[in-house]
Amino acid sequence: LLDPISLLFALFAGAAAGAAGIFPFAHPNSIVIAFNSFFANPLQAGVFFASLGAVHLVFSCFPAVFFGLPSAAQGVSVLPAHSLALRGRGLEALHAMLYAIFGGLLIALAFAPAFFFFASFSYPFFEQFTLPALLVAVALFFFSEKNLRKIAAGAGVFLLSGIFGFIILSFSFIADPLLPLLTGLFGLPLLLLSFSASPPPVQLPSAQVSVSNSHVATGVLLGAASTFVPAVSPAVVSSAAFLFIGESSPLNFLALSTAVSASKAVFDVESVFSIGKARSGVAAAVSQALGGFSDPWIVLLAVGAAGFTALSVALFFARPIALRFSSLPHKKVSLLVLAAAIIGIFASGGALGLAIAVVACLIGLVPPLAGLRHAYLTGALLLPTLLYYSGASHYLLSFIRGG
Amino acid sequence: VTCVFSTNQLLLFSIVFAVIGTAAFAVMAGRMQPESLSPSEVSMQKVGRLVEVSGKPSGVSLRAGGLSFSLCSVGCVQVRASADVSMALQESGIVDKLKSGDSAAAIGVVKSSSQFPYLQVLEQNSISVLG
Repeated sequence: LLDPISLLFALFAGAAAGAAGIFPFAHPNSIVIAFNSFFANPLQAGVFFASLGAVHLVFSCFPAVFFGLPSAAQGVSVLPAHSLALRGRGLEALHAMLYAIFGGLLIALAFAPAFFFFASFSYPFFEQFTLPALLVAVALFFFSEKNLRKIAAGAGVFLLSGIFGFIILSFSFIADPLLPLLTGLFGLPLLLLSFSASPPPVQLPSAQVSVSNSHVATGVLLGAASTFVPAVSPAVVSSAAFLFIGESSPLNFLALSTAVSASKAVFDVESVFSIGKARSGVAAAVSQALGGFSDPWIVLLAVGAAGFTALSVALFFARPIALRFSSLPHKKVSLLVLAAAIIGIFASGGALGLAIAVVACLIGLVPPLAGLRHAYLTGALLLPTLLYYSGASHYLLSFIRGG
Repeated sequence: VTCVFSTNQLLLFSIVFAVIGTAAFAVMAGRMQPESLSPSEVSMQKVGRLVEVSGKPSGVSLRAGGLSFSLCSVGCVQVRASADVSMALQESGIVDKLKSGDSAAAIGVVKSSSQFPYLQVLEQNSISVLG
């Protein structure tokens, strides 16, 4: 039977599973799929997934800074972290990200009750503006580029990935098309390119970091707002935000984008209960587990408890872990991770899944090779969403099917 | 507003909030202990994907704040309660949230478990009306 100990067990089990985020390429959705049937009790399962998501967010900062493979949640936003790491300031970048998670979680949890009531009442009103809101977010993202050539090239990548995403998601080629699609677009290209990347140099110690609190607060606000709009990733939100904020230091960019992710870890889960929408893989797992529930508080406490515990561990071991990353045989690790990814995709989707991943990978290689932001690849999710909300997907599908 | 922070301070605050968060979680988990019916008090019968619950739900505290019945069985099924359970739901003052319109009120979503045939009652604010 359900008791406090079994819920605490679920909390710590979720934290242990989420710690896998320290491994490059360990996407939270993949971990969620791996542990999908771990708990039979719905409340235990909900707590497990919420805890997993929060801890994964914290530990994924390590590979995001020190390994050539940013996590999908941070996408292109962490590239400033890579540049800092290459200058020996990786620890400073890591501390700034952990500070942003600390602030992001704290502010988001403090405002969670207010957000719950606000979202519950206002979402039916805002829902009718989903399409224009999405269009504005995408437009802002494009215009955050400085020159027209990049806007045009970015639009090309956005459309290409969008059309591919629309086809893959609209036709039931395989049961779970998201895994090969997202792995192929975001993971495999960076993994392949990491073979030629050099390991980060010895990192300088960092005992003090200076981060703008207003960037952290803005990140939390944007994370909350993004739950009203589907398919918008933290990278898109952060890039669009800098149109208004203007130029900033790499540390402040990191602070804002990481605070968006931290805030989304809270508000995405809360949205399952307040507006009945799951905006992330972890939130979808919580939703699946706790379908009939309407009380988010124990799940949000799980996010807070697990997130702050993970932060404590990450801060305590930041330096030795950073040093270990510096001494990793990166090419061997990349090879190992690549093999694991291929096996995982094949196990999940068979030969067709691999074929989807290969095509997605070819599209995903365009942005890094052309010097564009990876976030244009979110067209794979954004374009199908735009088509769905505009009603065009129905006509397009009829046209493709020849009806 | 730029904050210059020491990593030791951040570590200290993280530990404090981790302790507070875990303690608060444990307290709330304690309050969410389910009450259960013994197998002798209720009987259940699988009818397709539905489970018919019959018997007097004595010992079940139906809180006005709402509840969800989580019937544990293998596979994900829905629960349909008998008239006895419906009556108890009406007495609990949450009948206005039920819309099934007949004596058999559908009262929750059930997840799989190996703990069949216990009926767990989890506190929450609303009921998913099925059927």
